[in-house]
Amino acid sequence: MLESFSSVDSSRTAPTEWLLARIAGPNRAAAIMGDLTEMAATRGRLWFWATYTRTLITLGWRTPVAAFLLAIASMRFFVGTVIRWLMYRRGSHLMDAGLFSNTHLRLISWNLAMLMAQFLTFALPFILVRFGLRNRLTQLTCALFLIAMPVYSLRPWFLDLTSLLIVVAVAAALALPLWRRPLIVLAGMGITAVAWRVPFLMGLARVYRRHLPYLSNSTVVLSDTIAFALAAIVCVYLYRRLLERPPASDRTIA
Amino acid sequence: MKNEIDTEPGYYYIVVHMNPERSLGEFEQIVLLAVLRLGDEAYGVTILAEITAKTGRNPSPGALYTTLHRMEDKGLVTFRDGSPTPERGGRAKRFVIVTREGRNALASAQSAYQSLLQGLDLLDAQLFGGANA
Repeated sequence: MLESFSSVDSSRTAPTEWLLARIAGPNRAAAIMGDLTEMAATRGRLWFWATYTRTLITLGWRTPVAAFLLAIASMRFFVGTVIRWLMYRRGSHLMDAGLFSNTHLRLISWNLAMLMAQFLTFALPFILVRFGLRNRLTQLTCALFLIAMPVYSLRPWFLDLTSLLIVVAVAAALALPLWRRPLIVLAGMGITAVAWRVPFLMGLARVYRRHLPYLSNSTVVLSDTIAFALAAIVCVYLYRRLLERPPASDRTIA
Repeated sequence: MKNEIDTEPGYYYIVVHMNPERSLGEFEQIVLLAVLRLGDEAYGVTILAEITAKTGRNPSPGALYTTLHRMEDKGLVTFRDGSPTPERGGRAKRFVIVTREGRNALASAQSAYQSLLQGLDLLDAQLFGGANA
């Protein structure tokens, strides 16, 4: 039984090991496949495939690519259902009087708050999946997400207050050493996402220059996806540079 | 991180704060203890078997590998490659070794448990059916 399983499956496991190596690296993948093959000799093929699949998911769901795909999917769901419903339902209140009487100031603050909220609908699931809930970057993103979400009520008072609260929260995070680096990582990610979001920037510019052309839906989706992919890369890079702990050999134990 | 709370020469104390990011989770401690118990024979299959035998738990291999990889990244464990064997489809065993940092982290976590247990007769109560409880 033991020999038959390993001899039959040694060739068949090559693609599975290749797939595992994409997530865990070649050395780890070889060791894991060896362990699973050894244990499958007494537990059978069904156990092997079930355990292999579970292992693949367990090891793979926090990879940047998986986190990115999950974040894009959850953002599309959120924007396509919750936000669309709120926009249609609450849109009529948009021009009511609010805290800021200056129209331009309101326009700028609302757009910035909306921009941040939209960015956070992608950033939160990505960071949550990639780094886990116990991470400080996730906690900061979560807090900003909760602060920013009332903008989708489209009620001017909420929009004004949310804009104000976002500024206060960002200033507070910048002032506190514990939260400064996570904020820098999030800001770097956000700036990248916004800078590459051509349709949104064109939408903003259209307020002042109405002759600018409208982009097709597919162009918008493609542009968004590229922008968020770049933002995810920047996030992972900045996280490694600013927040990842040094190797254990560099640290001392008191 | 150290704070001097009494600076009188020759009679000062150093308060050492336990770094929360260094603290070990329960499963990490179980894995490290199993690896230490197994000595030179600690690899995926034997670690899973040891945990099952000693704790009654049946952890999934995925959970074990995730924990081992995380601890490797933290520098708590390292690996040594064995020789390829036919029952593993020609793949080598990857033996786990607990590093000095791993031992220190485990000792620190266990001493915290011991401190909390001191004065409680939980183990006696469990062993003797609550006679001393």
